[in-house]
Amino acid sequence: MAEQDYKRKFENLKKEYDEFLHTVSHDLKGPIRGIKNLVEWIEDDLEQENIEDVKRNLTRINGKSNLLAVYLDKLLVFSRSNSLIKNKTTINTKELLTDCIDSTNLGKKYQFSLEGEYPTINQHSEALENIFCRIIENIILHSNHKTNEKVKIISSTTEEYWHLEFKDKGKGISQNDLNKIYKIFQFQINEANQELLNIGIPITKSLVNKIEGQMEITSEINQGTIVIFEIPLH
Amino acid sequence: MPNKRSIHFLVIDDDDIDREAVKRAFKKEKISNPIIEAENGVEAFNFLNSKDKDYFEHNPVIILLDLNMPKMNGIEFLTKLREDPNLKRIIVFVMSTSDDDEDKLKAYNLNIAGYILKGRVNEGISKSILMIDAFWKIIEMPPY
Repeated sequence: MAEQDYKRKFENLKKEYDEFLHTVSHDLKGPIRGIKNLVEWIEDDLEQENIEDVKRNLTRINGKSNLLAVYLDKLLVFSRSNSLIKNKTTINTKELLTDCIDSTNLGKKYQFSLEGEYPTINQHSEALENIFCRIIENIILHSNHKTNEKVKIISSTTEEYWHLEFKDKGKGISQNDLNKIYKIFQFQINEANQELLNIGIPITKSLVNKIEGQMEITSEINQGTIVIFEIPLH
Repeated sequence: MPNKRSIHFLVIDDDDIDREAVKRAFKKEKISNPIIEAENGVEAFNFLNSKDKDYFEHNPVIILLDLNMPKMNGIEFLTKLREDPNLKRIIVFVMSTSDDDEDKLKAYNLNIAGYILKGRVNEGISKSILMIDAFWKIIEMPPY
């Protein structure tokens, strides 16, 4: 590898590390601050014998603790994703995608159509599997829950790259949300919807960077979303 | 001259505990001004746009604004607020957990009255609320 490649890799890792630190020190503080407030209020309310509020706030402490546990679990998943980069093996890309679709699209609620030529490539198979399963999972999670919704997966190959496009007719992502989508936790709906805490896209992006590929998302509200990948053939 | 006692506070924060913290601090310090709550910038604009000249003349609003919110965040809200000919003068205090210089710079460039760091350890919100209470009692509110 040339010196400038190492330099670029180093810069990418440094950026990811900074973002990780920011998340740990800033975002995790939220629930902790909440718990601290609630404890103070419970102390005040106990003095006033305001038992109803005490009960309500104990439940809220429980909720905040659960949220904190979810944050930490997801952070662990993110930090462990590095271990998916191992040795390159020969991969049948059509098989890989079909397996991802079968394992995530339970009940066959959504239709996926594979179009174009699917090459055999030499890449990190666990990383690729993780990338595409997460994307398919995200498409299903953020779809507008209409049945018979068709998602097109279009493949093509150039000399050095495998191009892959996911096109859905889902509810789309606003420009504002698109700006946040690559950042850990930023694309968060709310506490009641905590399974949507954004970690899938940040992991995907980080993995794609590590296998020297590119990833891009474009979207229009109520029109659908297009996710484009460029993966090196070797 | 509007009656100073009728100043309303608009608290824009997606965290229900943070909004309640403001309400509790008001109660604790025996400040009786009405508090209006909004979960994000979109909701806040819905409220502000639903009121007319007469309302704002009698109930000048001071905004307490969080920065990190879904839908429309604090900076986006401030940008839009300052572009609105009727609303651009409104006094805004930012209350955020973000200690980033970039956030402070953006907020002050949008003419906020003050940037308050939320949740400094061992420092309750009461101090900030007492400061804001003293602030509006001393200053002249912008005429509508």
